[in-house]
Amino acid sequence: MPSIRVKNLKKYFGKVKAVDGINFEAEDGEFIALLGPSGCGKTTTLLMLAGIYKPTDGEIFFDDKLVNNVPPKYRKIGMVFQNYALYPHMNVFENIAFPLKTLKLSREKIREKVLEIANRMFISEILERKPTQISGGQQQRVALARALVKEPEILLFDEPLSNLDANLRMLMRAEIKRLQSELGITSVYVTHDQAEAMTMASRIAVFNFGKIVQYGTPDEIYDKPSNMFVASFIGNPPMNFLKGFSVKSVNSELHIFRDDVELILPLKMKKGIFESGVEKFILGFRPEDCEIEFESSSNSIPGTVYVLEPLGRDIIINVKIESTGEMVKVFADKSKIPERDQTIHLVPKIEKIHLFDPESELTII
Amino acid sequence: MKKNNGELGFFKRNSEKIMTITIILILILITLPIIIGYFWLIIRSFSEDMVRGFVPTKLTLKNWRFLWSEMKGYPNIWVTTFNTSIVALGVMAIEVLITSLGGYALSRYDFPGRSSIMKLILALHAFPAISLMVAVFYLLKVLNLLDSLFGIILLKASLEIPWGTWIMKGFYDGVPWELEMAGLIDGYSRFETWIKIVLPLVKPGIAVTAVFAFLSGWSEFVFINTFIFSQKFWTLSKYVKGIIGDFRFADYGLVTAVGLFYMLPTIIFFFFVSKHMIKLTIGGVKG
Amino acid sequence: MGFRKNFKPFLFLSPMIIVVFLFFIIPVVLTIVLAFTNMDYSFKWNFVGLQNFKDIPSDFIIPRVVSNTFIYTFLTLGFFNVGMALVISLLTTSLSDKIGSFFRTLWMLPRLTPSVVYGLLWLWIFDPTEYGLMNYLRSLVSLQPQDWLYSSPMLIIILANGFIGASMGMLVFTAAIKAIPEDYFRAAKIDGASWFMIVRKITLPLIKWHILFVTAYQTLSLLASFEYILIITDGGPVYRTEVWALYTYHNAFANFRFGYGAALSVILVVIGVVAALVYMKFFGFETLMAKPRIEVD
Ligand SMILES: Nc1ncnc2c1ncn2[C@@H]1O[C@H](COP(=O)(O)OP(=O)(O)OP(=O)(O)O)[C@@H](O)[C@H]1O
Ligand SMILES: [Mg+2]
Repeated sequence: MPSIRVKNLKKYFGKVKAVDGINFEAEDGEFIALLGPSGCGKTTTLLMLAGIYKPTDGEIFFDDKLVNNVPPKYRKIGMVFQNYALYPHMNVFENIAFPLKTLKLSREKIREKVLEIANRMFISEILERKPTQISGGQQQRVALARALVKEPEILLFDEPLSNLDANLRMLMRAEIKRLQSELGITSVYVTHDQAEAMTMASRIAVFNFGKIVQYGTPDEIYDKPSNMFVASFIGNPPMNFLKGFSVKSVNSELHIFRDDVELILPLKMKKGIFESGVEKFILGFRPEDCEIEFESSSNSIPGTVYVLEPLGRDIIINVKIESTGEMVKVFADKSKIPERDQTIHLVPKIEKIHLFDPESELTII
Repeated sequence: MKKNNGELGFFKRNSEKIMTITIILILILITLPIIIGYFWLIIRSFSEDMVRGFVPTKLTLKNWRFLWSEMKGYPNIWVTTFNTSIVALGVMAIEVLITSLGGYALSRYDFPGRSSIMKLILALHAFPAISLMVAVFYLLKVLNLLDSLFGIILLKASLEIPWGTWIMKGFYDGVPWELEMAGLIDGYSRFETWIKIVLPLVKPGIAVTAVFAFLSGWSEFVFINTFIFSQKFWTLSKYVKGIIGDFRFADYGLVTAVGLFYMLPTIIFFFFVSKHMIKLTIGGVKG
Repeated sequence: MGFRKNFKPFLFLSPMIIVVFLFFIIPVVLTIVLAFTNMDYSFKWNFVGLQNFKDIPSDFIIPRVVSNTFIYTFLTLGFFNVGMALVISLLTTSLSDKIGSFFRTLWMLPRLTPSVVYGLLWLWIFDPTEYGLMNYLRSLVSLQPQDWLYSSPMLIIILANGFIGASMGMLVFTAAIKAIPEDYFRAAKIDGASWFMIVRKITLPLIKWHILFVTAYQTLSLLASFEYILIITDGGPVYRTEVWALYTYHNAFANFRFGYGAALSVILVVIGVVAALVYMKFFGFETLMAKPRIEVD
C-alpha cells in the first residue's frame, strides 16, 4: 500500500481559501484522521486526494509519485461519502459490482467478489434491494462494500458515520477500525467528531480555517495541544480557561497569580515561560485534572456550584468563579458531590496545567 | 359558552363552504368555453347530426370515413399521419439528444463563457423567434431544405433547443454531486459516468423534454404551411386545416372527426399524465 | 487554460451552439440585411438602401395594422395573459389542491392542442349559422343568427389567443402564490381579513415581480404572434385583424415581397433583441450560476 504525502497543498475557490497550505503524511497502511469544525476544508482536502478537485497549489504524492494530475480512476482509491452516494437506479448488488465492471473480469468472477464482500459486511440478504429500501446502517455497509470491492490501495472516508444514530455509530466505528487494520489499507478519515478521530486514528490532523493547526498522535494532541483552538476542540467537556494571570518569582519559587488565586508552578516551567516573553497568561486545565475541596487552601480557586450534570459513571460539576464570572467544568468523585450554590474550592493539578498566550493563543506550557 | 362555540363553528363551516362553492362556480363559468368546445368536438365527431348544432341525434362512425376512404383532393390520411409522426419523432430525437448534451455541460462543467452562454439562452427564450421567418425561409432555401420534412424537423427542434437545454440543466442540477464523484472514483471516465450514472437519473427530465418536443412537432402548423409545398409531405395540420376550410359549413361531423383524430396524442398525454401535468408543464411552456 | 482544457464541455455544447447560430444568430443578421433589398420570388440580391423603410409610412394599410396590433396585444394581455391568469391562480389556490389543479389542467389543454384544431373550436363557437354555439344561444331568445366573424373579428381572436395565453401566467402565478408561507394567510385570517383583503394586501404585493415578469414577457410574445389569427381570420375581413407580425408574414409569403417583409420584421427583431437584453440585466442570475464541483475532464 502506498504512503501519502501532502506538501503545501492549497485550494482556493475564488476568494474563499478552502485549504490554505497544508502538510501531512500517512505511512503505508496508516489510519489518519482529518478533524475540524464545519467548513474548515476537510472535504476539500479529501476530494483533492481523490482527484475530483485540482489543487490550486502544492503537491500530493502517493509513495514517491506525484499524482496532482492523475485522474481519479487511476488512483486506486475507494471512498465512502457522508450520504453514502449509492446509485439510486441500481440495486445493492449492482452498486457493489459497479467498480468491478471497469476491470476485465468474467461475470462469475464479479459475482464471486461481490458475494464475498457482501458476506463480510453482513449484507448478503439485501443484494436485490434498491438503496431506498434499506436502512441507513445497511446503506453505510453497502457504501463500504462498494469502496472495498476493488481492493483499493487507499481508502477515503468523508464523515461516514455522521448520519447514523449513536449506538450504530459506536458499532461501525469499531468495525471500520478492525477492517482497516486487517486489510492494511492506507486510510484518511474525515470527521468533526473528536471521539471518532481519537479512537480510530493513529494520527490526527486538526484543521481550522483551511490550515492544519496540529498533526500528531491522539495522545500528543490531547496532552500537548499546540494552541487554544486544539485544546478547546479536543476533549469532552473541553479544557477550562481562566484569564488574566501573571507570573512572578518568589523565593526561587515560580508563582502564577491573579486577584483570586495564586498557584505555585513547577520550576521546570520557568524556562519556557520566560523565553516566551509573554506577561499575561491564560491558564488552562482539563476537567479531570482538578480536585474539589470544601476547605480553602493556599493554591485553590474559590467558586460556587452552578449546576450538576450526572453522566452515570461520572458527574460534571459546573462551577462559577465568583470574582470573574468564568464558568469551569470539572469531573467529580461520586463520593464528593457538593450541592447547588455551595461554595467550593478548585485545586488544579499543577503538573497538568497549560499556559497560553492570550494574543497568539499559542501554547506556552 | 359551549353552545355558543358550536354555533360559531357551524356558521364558520358554512360560510367557508359557501365561499368554496362560489369559487368553483366562478371557475366553471370562466372555463366554460373550453369545456363546451372540447365536449362538442368529441360528441359531434360521433354523431349523425346535431339539433341546432348542440344536441346529438344518432351515433355514427360515418364521420370517420376519412380513415378508410380517400378524400378527394387530399393525400392519403395514413401517409399524412406517417409524415406527422416523422416530424414529431424527429423533433423529439434531435431535441432530446442535443439538450441532454448541452444541459450536462452547463450544469456540470466550468469553462470560460459558461455564464455568457446561460444568459444567451435566457435571452433567446424571451426572443420571439417567429419574427425571423422571412430570413429562415431564405436560409432553408440556401440549405436546400425547403419542401423537406427534415428542414421542418431541424428548424422546429432548433428553435426549442435553447430553452430545452435550460430545462435539462435544471434536471442535471438536481443530481447530487457525490453520485458523480463516486462514479469517477469507482473507475470511470467523466463520459462513462455521464452515461451510466447521470443520464439514468435525469430520465424524468428526458421524458418531459421528449413529450413536449413530440407534441410540438406533431402540432406544428405555420412552418408546414409555409415551407412545405408538395402534398406528399403534408402533415396532419395542413390536412386538417384544409378539411376545415372545405367542409366547415357542409359537414361538421367530418371536420370534428378529423380534428379529434389529430388531437389523439394530446388526449393520450393528457389522460396519462394529467396528475403530474402542472409540474411538467412549468418546464415545457413557452409563452 | 486554453482550448485543450475546455475541449470536453464544448464538445457537449457544440450541437446546441451550432443550431443557435444557424437558426437564431444568422437569421437575425439576415433579416437586417434583407431589409435593405427588394428581394422577391426570384431571390435576387438587389440592394435598395432605405427604400423599404421609406415605404412603410406611406403604406396605407400600416395605420390599420398598427392600431390592430396595439388593440390585440394589450387587450389580450390585460384581460387574459395577465388578468385571467391572475384570476385563475388566485381562485384555484384558494381551493383544495386536487380541485385547483383540475381547473388548471383544463386551462393547459388549449396550449397542447394542435393550433388548427383549437382554431376550429372558435370557428364553431362563432359560426355564422345556427349550428354555432353563440347563434344557438341567440336562437333561444329568438334572435337571428349573426355573422360574428364579420361583426366582431377582433373579439374572436382576442378570446382565442387569450384562452391559450392565460396558461403561462397561471403557472407562474400559481407557483409564486404557493411559495408564500402559509403563516401569512393564517395570520390574516385570524385577524378576520376577507378573501379580497388577503388578495389585495398579501398575495398581490408578494407576487408583483412575477406579474411584471409575465407582463413584459407576454407583451413580446403577443407582439410577434400570429398563428391563431392566421388560422381563424387570416387577418380578415379586409385587414380588420391584420396585426404587424401577420402583415409581415403576408407580405413575405403571400405576396413574396421578402425585402419588404424583412424590413417589417426588423422592427420586431429589434424590439425582441432589446427586450431580451433588458431582461437579462434584470433577472437575478447569481443564484443560477453556481459553480460546478467536479474538476475532472
Ligand atoms: N465547490 C466549492 N465552491 C466554492 N466554495 C467551496 C466549494 N467547496 C467548498 N467550498 C468552501 O470551502 C470551505 C471548506 O469547505 P469543505 O467542504 O472542505 O469543509 P468541510 O471541512 O468538509 O466542512 P463540513 O464539516 O461542513 O463538511 C467552505 O467555506 C466552503 O464553503
Ligand atoms: Mg465536509
